[in-house]
Amino acid sequence: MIKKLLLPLLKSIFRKIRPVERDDFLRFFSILFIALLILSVSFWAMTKLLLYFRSIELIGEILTRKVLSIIYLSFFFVLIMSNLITAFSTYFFSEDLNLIKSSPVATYDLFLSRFVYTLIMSSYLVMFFFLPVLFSYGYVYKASLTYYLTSIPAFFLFLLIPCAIGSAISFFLVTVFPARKARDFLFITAVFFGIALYILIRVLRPERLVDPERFRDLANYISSLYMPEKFYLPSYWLTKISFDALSGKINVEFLFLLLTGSVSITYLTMLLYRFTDKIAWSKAQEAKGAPITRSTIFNKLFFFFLRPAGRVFRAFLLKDVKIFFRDTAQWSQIFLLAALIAVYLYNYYVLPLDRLPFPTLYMENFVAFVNKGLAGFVVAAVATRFLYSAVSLEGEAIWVIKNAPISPRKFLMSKAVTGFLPLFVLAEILIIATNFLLHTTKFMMVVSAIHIAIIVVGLVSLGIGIGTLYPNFKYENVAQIPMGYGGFIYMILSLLYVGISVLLSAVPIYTFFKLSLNLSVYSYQIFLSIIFIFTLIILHLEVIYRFFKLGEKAFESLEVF
Amino acid sequence: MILIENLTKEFGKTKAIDSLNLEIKDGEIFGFLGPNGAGKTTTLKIMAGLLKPTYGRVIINGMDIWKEPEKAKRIIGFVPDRPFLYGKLTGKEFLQFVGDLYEVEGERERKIEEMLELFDLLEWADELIESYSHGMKQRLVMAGAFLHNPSVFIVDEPMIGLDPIGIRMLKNLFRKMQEMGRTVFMSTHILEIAEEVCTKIGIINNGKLIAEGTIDELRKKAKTESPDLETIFLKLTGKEIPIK
Repeated sequence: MIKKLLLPLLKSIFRKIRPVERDDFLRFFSILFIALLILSVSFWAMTKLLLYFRSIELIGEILTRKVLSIIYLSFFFVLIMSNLITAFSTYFFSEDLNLIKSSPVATYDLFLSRFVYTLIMSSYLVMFFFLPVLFSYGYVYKASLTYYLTSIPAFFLFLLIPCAIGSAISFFLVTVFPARKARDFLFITAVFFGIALYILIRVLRPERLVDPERFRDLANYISSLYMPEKFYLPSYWLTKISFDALSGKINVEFLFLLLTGSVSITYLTMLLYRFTDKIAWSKAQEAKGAPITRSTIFNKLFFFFLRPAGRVFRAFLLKDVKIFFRDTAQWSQIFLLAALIAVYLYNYYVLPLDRLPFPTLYMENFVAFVNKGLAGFVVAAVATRFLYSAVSLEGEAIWVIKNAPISPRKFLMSKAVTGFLPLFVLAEILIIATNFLLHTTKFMMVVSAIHIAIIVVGLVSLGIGIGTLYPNFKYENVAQIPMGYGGFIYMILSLLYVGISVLLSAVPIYTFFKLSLNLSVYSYQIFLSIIFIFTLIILHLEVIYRFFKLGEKAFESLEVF
Repeated sequence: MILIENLTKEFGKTKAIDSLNLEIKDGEIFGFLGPNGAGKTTTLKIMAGLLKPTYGRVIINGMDIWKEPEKAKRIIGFVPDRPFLYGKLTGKEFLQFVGDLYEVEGERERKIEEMLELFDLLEWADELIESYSHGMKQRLVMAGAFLHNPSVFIVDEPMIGLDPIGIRMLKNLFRKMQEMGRTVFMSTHILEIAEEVCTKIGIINNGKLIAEGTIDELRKKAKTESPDLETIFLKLTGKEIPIK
């Protein structure tokens, strides 16, 4: 019975990735190529790092072990969160559940089939990134077959534990709260959990571990490496098994611990499912009619300020703003953005520019230049989540727009403006605040602020174009939208765009920076600068125009099935 | 007036609609019937500009829906078979949004109130759509379709999910539209309703129009004396069920 229940779910995953038409093959092989590239680069970087650590006398082994332990620990927490979020859909919200629940299916069979599905859906990315970790350690330590035969099964047993924990928490939450509220509650908790973890890691500054000079003496440094490793954490068991296997030793005690631990927690979760299923399932069907806030003052102000923008544009904007603030999964991400800005600025605040053997003025302005690129990358990453998804966020109600007498330009322009404003504010905060912290020259401040604003316009156009070309209107969770092929393309193109734009600006900025300080420059430098500025203008105009046009065409020929 | 010329829609190797030709005059209520998977919803979606035809064209009051989409869509009211809406908006906010998209002139708020009352949604106007039942969502979509006073209605299975009061109200509304010279193009599975409301009926099977006309004309074509549409439909589609 479990096979029968699981087969349709697995078939649907297989059909999604199986290439059928020519375009699918192109897509399939380009993703495969990029995946292999990521694996190779990760393997190469990991191997380099491990070889470097191993070359350090006395503490080399401790460091490599520490790295493995940190990797598995982060896998463990990431997996708990991703299993928890997936569990809500698989156990309570999937559309096929109504049919299955009304069929004579045993609770255990249903649980196990959903458990396996949750495990696959939540863990495949971690499994992917486990590969370079596994092979780089094996390669650096010249491990025997025993290492692979022990580590791989141990890793799969390890995956069961966060899946069981995530599932169990979801059962508990849905039993206590109505499912929709539980999901809202979960999103907020997850966001705060993420922020806390992120800030904690940044404030601890793990990079100091590879900079022993910062510690008073070696003993102090080594003792800092012995951060508490919790015996009861499954990631610790896995580290122990893998590390021992690297020297050909099979750690039977910990293997047994992992086996009994994973099986028993899965069994306990199954019992919990059986115990809570009926209450949780009926609660999952409730929780409608959530309270909302309606502010007439807000509406009036909104209409007053946006009067010149036109009726249709205002309507789109008002709808998007309302939906954004009523959807917990969307508005809670503002906190993540705030944390991102805080940590970003903090990094610049603690930057030890005064300790570098270069003139401070030169260094500060150089860092400000690099910062423009980094801020651009951060904005590109944020745009992938917020702006690329903008068209897809219409969801299955897209027919309302497609059926309305609205030109694609009007619709996409409203999306572009809604997306541009927050991105612009974010980018300018990142640039102006960091330049302020770095004490850059006025010239650098103004140029960076203008350049990043133009980059944001380009990123918006790219996002609208690619987001309309590869829409996903049938998502279950907003986070799924940028995870597709289009999101991947957007990420690559936007990073390239930011990188090229910043690189092209290097020569003119350097030349005019020197001029602003009344330093002499060669005439060929001015000539080169003018050429680069022209190239830069063409690049931006082309990206802004072409990709918006691409979006318009894509929306024009969009079919709503 | 609706003019469908040589309309063909292919999905890969499958022909969902095959050279469909139809002409529906002003003031007609046209019932579009056919078995499951015959191509009804695909035809209606092309008429509403949601799907692009592989060949052929749809002309609404002289405007090609794919060549002059904005003009043509301004005079269409479309109701899809499944009422997907913005769950995080209230019913009233949705109608305000639709009113703005169609740039409804005059007293928009008064028109919205009227629609909410007509479709028995006044009590739920300020609740989020995600809390509506299927039937309520269906009624809200209809309220949205009628809000801008269109001259052509394209409705896909409008009675599904409606209670008897809703069905009666809709039938009366269609008749009223007919009296006002508006055109209604409706697909339905409920043959009694087609029989009762429609002035003309078209039957589609495997993407091809197999019959078109009034009930009397269809009866002649089916070579049957039976007065009910069900027998005519089964005969024409070749799906007669043997009675043992």
